[in-house]
Amino acid sequence: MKFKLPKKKLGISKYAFFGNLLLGIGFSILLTGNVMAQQNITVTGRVISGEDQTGLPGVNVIVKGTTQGTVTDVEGNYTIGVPDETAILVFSSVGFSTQEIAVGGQTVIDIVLNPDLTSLEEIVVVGYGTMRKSDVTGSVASVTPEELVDRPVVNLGQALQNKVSGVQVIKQGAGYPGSNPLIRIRGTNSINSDSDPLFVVDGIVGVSNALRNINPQDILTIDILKDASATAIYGTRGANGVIMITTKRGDVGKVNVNYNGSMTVGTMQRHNYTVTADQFFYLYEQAFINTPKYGNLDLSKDFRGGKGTGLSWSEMPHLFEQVPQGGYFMDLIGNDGNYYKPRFYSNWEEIAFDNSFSHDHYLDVSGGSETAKYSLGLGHTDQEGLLMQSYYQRTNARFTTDIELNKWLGVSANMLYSRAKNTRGDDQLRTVSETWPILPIKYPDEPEYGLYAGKWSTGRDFPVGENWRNIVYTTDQRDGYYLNTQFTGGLVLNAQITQDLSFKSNLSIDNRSEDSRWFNGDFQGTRTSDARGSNARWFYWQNENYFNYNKMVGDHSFSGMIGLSWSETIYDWVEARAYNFPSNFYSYNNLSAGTNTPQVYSSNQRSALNSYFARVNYAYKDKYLFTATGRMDGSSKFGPNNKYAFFPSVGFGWRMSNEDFMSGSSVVSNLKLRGSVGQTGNQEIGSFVTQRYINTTSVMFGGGNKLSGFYPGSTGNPNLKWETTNMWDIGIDLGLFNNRVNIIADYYHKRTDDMLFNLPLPESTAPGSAFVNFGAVENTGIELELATTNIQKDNFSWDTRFTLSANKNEIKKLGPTGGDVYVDTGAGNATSVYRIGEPIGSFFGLNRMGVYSTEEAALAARYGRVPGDLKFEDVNQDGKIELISDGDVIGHSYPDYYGGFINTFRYKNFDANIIIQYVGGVDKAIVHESAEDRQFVSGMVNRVLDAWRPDHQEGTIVAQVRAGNAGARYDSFTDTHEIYNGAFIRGQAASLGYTFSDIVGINSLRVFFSTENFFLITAIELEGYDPEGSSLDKARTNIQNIDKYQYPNPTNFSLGVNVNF
Amino acid sequence: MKYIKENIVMRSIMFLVVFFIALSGCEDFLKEVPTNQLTAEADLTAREYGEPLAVGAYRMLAEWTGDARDWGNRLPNTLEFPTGGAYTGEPHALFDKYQTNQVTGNLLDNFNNQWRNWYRGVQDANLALSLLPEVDLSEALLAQYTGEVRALRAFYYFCIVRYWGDAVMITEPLEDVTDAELPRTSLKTIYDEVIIPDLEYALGAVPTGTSGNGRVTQDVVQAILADVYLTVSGYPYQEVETNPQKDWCGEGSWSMQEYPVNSTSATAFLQKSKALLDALYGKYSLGTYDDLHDPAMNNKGEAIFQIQYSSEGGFENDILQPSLPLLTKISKSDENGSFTVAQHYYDSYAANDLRAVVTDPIEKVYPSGMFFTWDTNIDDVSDTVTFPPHLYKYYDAAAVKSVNGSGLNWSHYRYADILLMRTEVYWALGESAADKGINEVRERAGLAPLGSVTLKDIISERAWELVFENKMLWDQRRTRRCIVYGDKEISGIQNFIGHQPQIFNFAFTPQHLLSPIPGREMINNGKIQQNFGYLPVQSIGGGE
Repeated sequence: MKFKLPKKKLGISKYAFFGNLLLGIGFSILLTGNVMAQQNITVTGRVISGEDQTGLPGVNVIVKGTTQGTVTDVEGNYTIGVPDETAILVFSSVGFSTQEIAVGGQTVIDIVLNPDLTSLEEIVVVGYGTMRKSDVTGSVASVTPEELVDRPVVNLGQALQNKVSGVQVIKQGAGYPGSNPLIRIRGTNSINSDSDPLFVVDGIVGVSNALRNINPQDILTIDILKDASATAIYGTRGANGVIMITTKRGDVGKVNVNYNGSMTVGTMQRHNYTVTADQFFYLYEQAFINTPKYGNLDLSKDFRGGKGTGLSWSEMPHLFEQVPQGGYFMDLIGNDGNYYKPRFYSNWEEIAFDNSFSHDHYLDVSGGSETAKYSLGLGHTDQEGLLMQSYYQRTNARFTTDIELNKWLGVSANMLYSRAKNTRGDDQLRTVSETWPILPIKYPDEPEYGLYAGKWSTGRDFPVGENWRNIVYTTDQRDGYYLNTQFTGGLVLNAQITQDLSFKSNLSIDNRSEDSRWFNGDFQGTRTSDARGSNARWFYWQNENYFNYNKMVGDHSFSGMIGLSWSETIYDWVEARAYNFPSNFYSYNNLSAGTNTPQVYSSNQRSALNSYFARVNYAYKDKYLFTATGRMDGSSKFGPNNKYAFFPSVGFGWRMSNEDFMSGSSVVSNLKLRGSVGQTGNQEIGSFVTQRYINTTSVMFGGGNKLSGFYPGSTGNPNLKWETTNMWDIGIDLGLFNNRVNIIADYYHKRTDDMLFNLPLPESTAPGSAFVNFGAVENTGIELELATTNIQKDNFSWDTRFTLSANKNEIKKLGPTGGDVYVDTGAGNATSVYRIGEPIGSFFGLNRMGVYSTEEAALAARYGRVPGDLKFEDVNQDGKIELISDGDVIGHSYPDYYGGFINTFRYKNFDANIIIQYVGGVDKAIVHESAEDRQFVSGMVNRVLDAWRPDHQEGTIVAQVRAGNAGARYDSFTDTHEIYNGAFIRGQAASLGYTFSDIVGINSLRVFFSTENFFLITAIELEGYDPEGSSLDKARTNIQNIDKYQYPNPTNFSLGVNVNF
Repeated sequence: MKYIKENIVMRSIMFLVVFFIALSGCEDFLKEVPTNQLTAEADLTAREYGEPLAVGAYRMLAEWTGDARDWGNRLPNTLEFPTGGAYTGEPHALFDKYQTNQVTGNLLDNFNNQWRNWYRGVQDANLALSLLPEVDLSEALLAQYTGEVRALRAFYYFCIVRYWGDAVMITEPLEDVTDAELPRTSLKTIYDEVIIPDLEYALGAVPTGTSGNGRVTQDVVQAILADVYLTVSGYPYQEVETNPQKDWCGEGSWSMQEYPVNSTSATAFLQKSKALLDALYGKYSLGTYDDLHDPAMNNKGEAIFQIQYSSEGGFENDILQPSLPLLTKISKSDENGSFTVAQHYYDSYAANDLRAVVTDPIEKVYPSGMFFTWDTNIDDVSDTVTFPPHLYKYYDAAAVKSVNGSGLNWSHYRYADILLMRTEVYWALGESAADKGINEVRERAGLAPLGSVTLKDIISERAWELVFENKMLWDQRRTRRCIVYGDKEISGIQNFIGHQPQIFNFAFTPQHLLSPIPGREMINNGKIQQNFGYLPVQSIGGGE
């Protein structure tokens, strides 16, 4: 949590004034005449600021021990009724020291409020405690509430993107509603084990799915722990960085009601161009002209009447209508000698996508007395995707309270609930690109369509290639959803044992369940329908107990923390599948309606952690700072010999600006040098992986008699141990010109050893892979944050913030032999490699040199190819083209650098915000080979129009042939043609707001217009919808930017209000 | 101060609570006890574990018609593509790579999945063999289970060595992940120390008689072992035997061509094979060709050893769609057209060969042989679809015309095969052979009996009778002979090396006597070496 003196006291206080006035009235009504009856004495007065002696508006004035209160007006004046002379008035305002004045016999009380210097200091949340930012020796970044929800955002990932250096937010599913972003803090540490940061929400360690399920509007602050000094306190779970989330809490004496609402329209930004129906026939003709060079045409797929045999245009009246000669741009002559043209011209992209409409609501009530504070939040977001029938709906509820039981004992409670639902049935986008453009959605129900009348169209209706069912048809036949419900909550006991010593104990749970339903219909009787329903549950509990001790002796300041914790995660899952439903009516709602034998599955897992941790801080004269932490973690996931591990760290800080020689500087207002070194761990592997499994299966014997069979399920590794990351960091915090310019810069070096590596084992000897501690990864990088207040006038201010992160990742050791490890070597996947000396997330493939020209016929023949075929570099010159032997690293899916440039303007009641995102030194794999290389096997992207022809020898696209015909082939590999420059600059968001401060009945009202993804600049040749993200089926944890027809990223326009009552 | 009193009480309580929790059963808290699967540490000695261990070894058999990645590319295709007798215009299967000598270990999952399936079968058997002796079983039952499992392990290894030659020899479950990478062992050692002893053991251990349900019986073992003996009397075993120390598979210096091989061991193996085939002779009878594609005849008639399939979801025979003519709309789902006899292969059948007789689409009489050229449109039975000859022997009519999968068994050994093997063994031993089985096969096909037989007769008959039963590749390799297809005849047989199939653009070299070690294994096993002439080859990385 951090509190800042409001930059614009006046404005904000004005709203507070009206708000509190309103509340005062509200309370008067609510609290019945009883309260009124007690107001025997009326006290008036004026509150002025000790800083500039002007009246302070918006100061809360409360009768202590009651909920009775008021606020000062614009001049700082107030009037309040108090019950009797013993009453005590409490004056409080954010950024000022609170004062208590006994009323006694006074009826006029004027007071001076002085700025609270300690509250001017930013407070940051660290593991098991809070610290003044100035005392922190580690690298900790904070995001304030204003920054978090400066525009409508659905999840935390969106809110965090580009705001903090060193934190990369990866939009995995691009614009897919409800897709889970990934966060990488200072690079990727590990190949197979999880590299996600640890989420600590209100002290609950390791909240699952926090990125997706938590409503950003429920969050007060986010603190991101980046280096070992800050994260080692979380030991085995700290290696990937820690994101500390503090949800909103109530404040004394001030009932606050806020409503935020917005409506958003999303539109397509870019297009993926496929061939039109006319282009389709041009290409079809071209293909049959080109194909004979391979051999004899298979005429059964040649529908050109008189040229082919069997079917022709005239035999396919469902797709072709007769025209006079010349009635179509080319002559499609049927077997009957007549001329034809296609009946349908479908642009499937236009059909599949439409503007989306979303809305979001959030209501927040908070308040409290000295002894009990509360805050309630209720949010609902309903997001529509651009693709038909894709959606994400989430409802969140939050309740937090802090209760003071007596002077030394307090109890806090936090409860977060969320329910999120999104579509399942997401593998549709390839359909959009590969369905024939000459098909209708559905054939008109008229006699001339014969058997086809009233039916959905499929690829089979023009039977030359794959049987793609059109997007509307599949959407009609399929349905499904994922439903995530999560309750995260806990109780914290807080005891102030002495003034210096406190004790905290918490008992918390995180209970999440994911339900899924899926129905795949019978597609006009061409398949057996099936439905499935599943439920997975995770239950986590923790108990943590720790002491905090603070002592100041002269110039020496000590603080210490020591504690221990237990936690356990229990997982179980059931799934039922049923087949062959009498009708699509039942969908997934009645599995017993399926007539075939249903299938059922279940499994469970458990893991536990037992930990001991401590931290010591020491500061001398506020100049020399020292921190040491240590954590001993015991995990059930490892074998008996390696259950426990210890993770230490130390950090040093030197606040140079506090030295005598600098204290007089008019330029440097703050200068701190930081350095830290430490060790953290990673244990994010599944449970039970150290053991050798014996699995069961059902084996069929004659007469339908099934017997149970055992087989080796996995190869265990009882010696498995922790993955360890060693990290050091040096940083500088520099404030210039009275902190109008703030610079934070860090350099870090991380090395992960004993990497938990899921070693693919030879299939000849072992069932599948096994986790081993083989390998090392290094991450080095710099982070830079530059925040400046460019203009600070009464009516106008302009702030900018610039972030830059550059991370270099390199694999240093790998597996027992150091050999390459390949992922997805098949075509159409974007093959990648883990290779020593290369970063994680490297694309691997052949060098596509173009197409064999006519003159290169002899060279082509060496590879069994002919002119027009794709030409790949034969690196080892062995006369064969083979991916592994001739391939190399051809791209990198993680950027060399990225960041944001954020501008905030305020002019009178207007506010404006612009966020520009930039990403550089990155590649994108556009894996559309299935629509390039396989012409007429599936629908095509329009790049094939530029393919090789005898009169057009250039290009990198294979000649138009119908693959398969006459032995014509397609050579599809991951290759350089598929790798594009993925750098970009994006107008990530912009907003313009206006605040009304003088509306009666409302404290304040801000209306805003905002837009997201409002421009995108990429390399000119970049294909696909967006340089960021992957298609859902290619979303790999470690390899980003794989577009196998990914979901488009919309440009959004929102209109919204923020109301404070 | 009033703090003091409260603090003393509270402190005591706090510390008590903390230490109470701290001391409570830490050991158990971090203990890992899987509850959803058995582990090797579990106690598996109770009788109930016996049969599941034996049954586990059968699990991988059904993968025979499994997937080799990409649409319509099934594993049986991949065993026919290299022979020169297959053709497909279906592009997903990448048949052109076979035609143009561009086959590598990374060609789709053609090699990866076969390798995985057969070695998994070996591993399943090894698990059972290591645990069965501990199970509380009667001696007879233990022998039976052990016999079944060893016969299956031998069968998997028999497939492995025929496809790739030298093999990774593993006869016990892998205990330690660091021992997972192993080099290859000579194929001769695999035959001598695993395949033959396993089957010889099984012969005396499993129940006698026919297999009515797919379980291994003595007949099954006899059929496999007879084939093994016949195979080791030929190649590559006999050539390896001339110099067992040599790295034959790595050097690819195969050169022997004679068949039958004139050696003491070859003769001895042939004699052993003869005894087994004689024992099977007369125990089965040849039915009709319709039996071959009738699920009701599963495990009946001439069936000896079949893979068990069922139309129940998850247990189907997946060769049906690949064997139907490409995109002809004769079935409910897609027709892949990828498991297709080359036209020249079909044309080699004699005009009167009943196996190749197809019927007229006009009269709509369904054929009774092994091929068909027409069917009705699935949406409109009045619409007849015609196409070049395609296999009818896997045409499970109920499955073609419904959305259900095929429950037709896949035959590994049927009686016609036994008859032809028997003929070959007698011929190879220089004894009179025409009356040892081949004429019974010819009689069913409506062909005239032979007076005396030549190798060409035997190989031709095997090609016609066992068409696309995944036998031809093995026949080519063990005899080193290939067929030259002619018009209504097989016009000759040629030596394998130097033979160029009609639709290939290259002639076979010694390289083609083996198949490439799959890419996945080459990457994951640093100790394995590629077969001569193939990619990818071994590469060892560097690092710190």
